[in-house]
Amino acid sequence: MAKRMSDKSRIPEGEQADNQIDENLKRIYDNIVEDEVPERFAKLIEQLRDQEEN
Amino acid sequence: MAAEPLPKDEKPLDPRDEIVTHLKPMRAFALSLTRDMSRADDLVQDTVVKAWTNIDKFAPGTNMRAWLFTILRNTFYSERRKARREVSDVDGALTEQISEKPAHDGRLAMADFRRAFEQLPDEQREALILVGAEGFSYEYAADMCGCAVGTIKSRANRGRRRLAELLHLNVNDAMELTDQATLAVISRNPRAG
Repeated sequence: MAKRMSDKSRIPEGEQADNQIDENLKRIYDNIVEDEVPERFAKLIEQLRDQEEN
Repeated sequence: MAAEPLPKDEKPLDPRDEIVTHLKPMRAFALSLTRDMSRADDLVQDTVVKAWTNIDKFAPGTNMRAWLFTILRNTFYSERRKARREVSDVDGALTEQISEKPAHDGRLAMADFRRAFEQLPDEQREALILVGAEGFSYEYAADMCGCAVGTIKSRANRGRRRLAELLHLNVNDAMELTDQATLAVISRNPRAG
């Protein structure tokens, strides 16, 4: 795929770098999102539900 | 329709049941703010409790993740204000916390990238995560952060510029994408602002 850059008098500064940065951000972020949620949160929700009923 | 009484054994749809489905992204967002997993989990816990007890303030049909993220970041900044004297010494925390996946296609070393990301100011990390990683629109992110759209754009752009600087991205990238003549133009192009 040819990059059409030479016909532009003003190239958006660092646009390609930006894309790379966002890709890396997504990768890191998604990596964390995939992590298992610790047990404490299930207990927390349970506690909150219990409080509600009492 | 809303006033229609439900059969006794049928509970109305409780928006609180949805909170749990956003826990994973909340932890990721919290980690990007705190840079420390145990602090991130504390922050998520506080957020869940607040959301749970203030669920009447959630407008059904609107974006719950945005609502939860707003509570989370407001909690983070209000705690940060309280603990201003606390010296932040969490460099590398994120690096230690996460097991790295090999990125065969990535041109950047992820560890380097994370280290650079952690050096950014809180507001820039936040803007980049909301817009760049989580994919909220600038308008949405601005709404969540209680600031102007231009402010979010500027924070995200300054964050990207700084990351590019730290990772020496601009030059390498230009070398790959352009011929020498174009490169000369780029390198002469004065930086705006």
